[in-house]
Order: sequence, then structure tokens, then C-alpha cells
Amino acid sequence: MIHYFLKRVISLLPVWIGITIFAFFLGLVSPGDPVYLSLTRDGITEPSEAMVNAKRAELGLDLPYHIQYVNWINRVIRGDFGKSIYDNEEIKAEMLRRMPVTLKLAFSAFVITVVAGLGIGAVMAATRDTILDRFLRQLCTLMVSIPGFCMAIILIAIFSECFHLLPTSGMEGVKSFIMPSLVLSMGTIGTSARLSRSNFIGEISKQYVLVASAKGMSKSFIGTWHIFKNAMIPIITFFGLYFAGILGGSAVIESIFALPGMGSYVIDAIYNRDYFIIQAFVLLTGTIYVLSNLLIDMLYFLINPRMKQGDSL
Amino acid sequence: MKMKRMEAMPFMILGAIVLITILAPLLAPFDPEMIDMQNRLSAPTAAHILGTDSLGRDTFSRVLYGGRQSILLAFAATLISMGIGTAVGFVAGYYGGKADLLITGISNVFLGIPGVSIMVAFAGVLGPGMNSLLIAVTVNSWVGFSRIVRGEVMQLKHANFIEGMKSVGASDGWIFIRHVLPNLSDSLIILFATKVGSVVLSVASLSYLGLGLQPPAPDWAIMISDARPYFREHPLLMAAPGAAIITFVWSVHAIGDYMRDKLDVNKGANDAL
Repeated sequence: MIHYFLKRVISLLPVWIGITIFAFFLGLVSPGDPVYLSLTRDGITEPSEAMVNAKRAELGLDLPYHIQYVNWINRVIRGDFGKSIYDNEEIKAEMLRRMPVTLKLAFSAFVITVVAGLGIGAVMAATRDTILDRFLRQLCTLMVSIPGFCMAIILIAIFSECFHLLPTSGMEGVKSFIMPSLVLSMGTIGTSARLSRSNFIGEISKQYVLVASAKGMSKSFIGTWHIFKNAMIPIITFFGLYFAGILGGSAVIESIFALPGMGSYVIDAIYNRDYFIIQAFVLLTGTIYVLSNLLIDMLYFLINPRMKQGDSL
Repeated sequence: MKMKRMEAMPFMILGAIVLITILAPLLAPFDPEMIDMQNRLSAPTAAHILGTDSLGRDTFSRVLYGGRQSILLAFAATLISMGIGTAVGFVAGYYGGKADLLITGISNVFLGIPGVSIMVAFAGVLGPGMNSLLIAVTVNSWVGFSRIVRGEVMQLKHANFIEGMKSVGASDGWIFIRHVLPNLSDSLIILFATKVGSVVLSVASLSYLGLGLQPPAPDWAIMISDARPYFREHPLLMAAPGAAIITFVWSVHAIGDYMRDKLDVNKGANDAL
């Protein structure tokens, strides 16, 4: 177990380093000089050459790129993403305030995806090629095809404006997360249900199911236990990939529902061309994703007995 | 393969939408960007069959024009991604070794950053607009193609007919174009359809937030965003472009599903994408 864990960490480390290089690179290619931008923030100051140079040296932006990268990494590891160019606030403090909102949203959307995706997939596999199966398949395709913001507007119209059940925006406890997480999970439910269906069907047609039913086990027992457990093995890895989509998609959904998460922060930052925040966002979402992948790898290890015996898959 | 009528529907719908979009300048009764404040927020009339928006622009004409930029963008960006992804995936799968290690490493980095984060980052750094969307989508999508191609090429390269071609002295380029590419076409077509649909959706989300295509361009997502304040009194303003975008993406996805079922290649692997 520990051996496997370390192996995964070592294989994910280069990925994480790559993500940091990508995030650093974003800062380099951004047009506009961050030094000049931060000095002219008030709209009145017209900085002199000397002021610009002094600020540049202060921020360490006059050093060669690879040294800048090492300096940057050193700060970033300690959570220091610098200050917002726009309002001079510490990015770290703001991100820490906002991260729980994003994680809560992404996690609840992920749970909805897993439950609904597996559920719909199992129903489709059990009623294979009937009208219900065909209907659900069409529904899944439709769910993948509706833009999140359209769905958000429809839900707001129904639940907020018509029935006054849920808040349209902002933070009012658990209620505020219901619509955003539904909208966020909608697309991935469609794809994951389809995937679960084909995995369940693939599993049903295997021989051990026939053997189990020949031995007189009830159909529902075979269905709920043997098939489910085995079909889960490939499905888990795909759910891991979907988590990336959910995490990224939360930026758009947070903005629509005005949730104060990392995503709405970065989108506001884009309007202000606040590059350090964009950099921090890419790095943080990338890191969260790498960590969640590690978690899923471990789950995979626990659920798949073949891994424990050291079989290479 | 002969199609049933139901199966042909998405193809016909997609064809119709693409045709209408291309012919929009001939079909539209009004200039989609013509402002007419005398006639703002008008209900459907004989002249404006879907009414007008808050600046008096004809909704029907704007819907006809509304797919031009995003559909073109999605097709162009996905084609470029497919080209890059196929070439890179072939090199990785065919030559293996260090090239494969390097390419797989780079691919894993791009897989490790959520797609929307990449798009948001590029829109933020390069400024919103067509070019940054094109770059963002390409950076984001090539990995999907290269992964599939790499996997299939690795299986293919030991096939007898490829070994045979090599033994009679065919060049790698020739083998790629004449023998590998035709074998990949099924997977590539399916992935292409899936990607075009999702690219249109993500571009629409960015445009809705003001980070993608820019007003006053007649674009479906921008129209929906503009219509938001008038949603209750003038639902058509939002319903018309909303229906257009959903129908378009649905037909692309339905075609992808159809191809997947018919061609039945690598079922599990493609379902995930």
C-alpha cells in the first residue's frame, strides 16, 4: 500500500512540476507590463523610468527567467502568490477564503454525478434496448448538449422567480449550493451514465454472471453485488477524469450564481487583467486535480483486489 | 450502411443549421447589427417575426447569423487539434522510447489542468476574442486526439501488414498516410464530433461571461446574455438563441453517438471522452 502510494506520488510529481511551469509561463506571455500596471493603478500617477525600474527590481522581474521561476516556486510553495495588481490585496488570503466555496461546490456536484450517473447507467443497463433505455439515452445526449448557463437561467426562472424556493445568487447556506451543483453536474451525468451503462452491460455478459445465476443466485443479488463491484473498477478511473471538468466548470457556474469561490475571483481578475490571480488559479486547480487523482488511484487500489496481489494491469 | 429515418434526423438537422448559417447573409431580412431604437423590444410582427431586442435589432436575423463565429471556430480549432494530436500521437506510438516518454509527460501535464482553467487562462492573458479562443481550444484539445492515436498506433505497429510494408522498404511517412491513418479514421471521426460539440459549449460559456466572442457580434451566447434582464417580459429573446445552440450541439452529439454505435470501435475508451 505505502509502496504503491509512493510510486503514484513519484509519477505525479513531474505532472505537477509541468503545471507550475505552465502557470509561470502564463505570467510571462501576458501582454502589458505588470510593473507599469501596478504603478498606474490609481489612474493618476505617471511613473518615471526610475520608479518603474525600482519596482521591477523589488518584484524581482529583472532577473533571468529560470531564476525568476525558482524564486516564484519558492514563494508559491509557501502559498505566497503575490498581491493583486488591481487592489493590492494578498492573493493567498483571498484564495483561502474562497477555496472552501469552490471545493464544496465541486464536491457536491461530483457526488451528484457519481450517484446519478451510476444510477441512470444501471437502470439503462437493466432495461437494455427497451423504450426506457432509449429514452434515457436520448435524455443523456440532451443533458450533455444544454449549455450550463441556459440550464442555470431555466432553473432560476423556475425555483427562484416562480416558486421563490431557492436564492438566485450569493451565499445563503446549503440552499445556495443546490442549483449551482445541479447545473455543474448535468453534463457529466450524461456522459458518465452512458459510460456506466456500457460497462455494466459488458460485465453482465461475462461468464461468471451466467455461472452465478446457474447456481441459483437471485438476479437482484448478482446485479447489486458482483456486477456492480466489478464494473466499478474501470468506472472509477473515468470519474477521476470528470472531476477535472467539474472543477474547471465551477468557474463559470460560480460567476452565474455569484458564489464567492475561486472561479468567480479569477473571472473578475480577467476583466482587470490581474495576471497573478490567473496564475494562482491555474496552479491551484491543477494541484487540487493532481491530489484528487492520487486519491482516486488509492481508491482504485483498495477496490481492485488484483492490484494487491501485485498483478500489473 | 442504410439509415433509418430517425437516425438520419441529426444529420439533416445539422446540415440545415450549417446551411442556414452559411447562407445567413442571403436569408436574413435585416442587418443583424442594425440598431433601431424606435422599435426596441417589439413583440413578433410581420416584419420582425421573432421580435426585436433591447437595441431594436431583429432577433430572427441575429439567430440566423448567431452560429457563424462559434461554429467556424469550433470546427477550425478541432481540426487543428486533430492535426497536431494525430501527428504527435503517431510519433509517440510509432517510435516509442524517449519520444514517447517526453510526449506522454507533456500530455499528462495538459490532462492535469482542467480544460476550462486553460481556456480561462488564455482568455485572461491574451485578452478575449477569436484568436485567444482558437489558441485556448487547441491547447486544450490536442491531448485527447494524441492519446487515442498513440494507443491505436501502438497496437497497429505490430500488425502483420505494417511489418510487411516496413520489410519491403516503405518509408514511415508513407506507412502513416496510406496505412495508419485510414485505420484511425473511425476513432478520429467520433472524437471529432464529441469535441466540436463540447467546444461550442465552452466557447458559449465564455462568451456568455464576456470572455469569449465580443458584442455586438450576433452570437447565440451573447444574445442570451443580452436578453437576461428582459427574460420575464420577453422570453423569446432568450428562447430563440437558446433553442438554436441546444439544437446544434444536440445534433453534433447525436451524430457522435450514432457513429460510435455503428462503428463500434473501442467502446469503453471512446465513451469516456
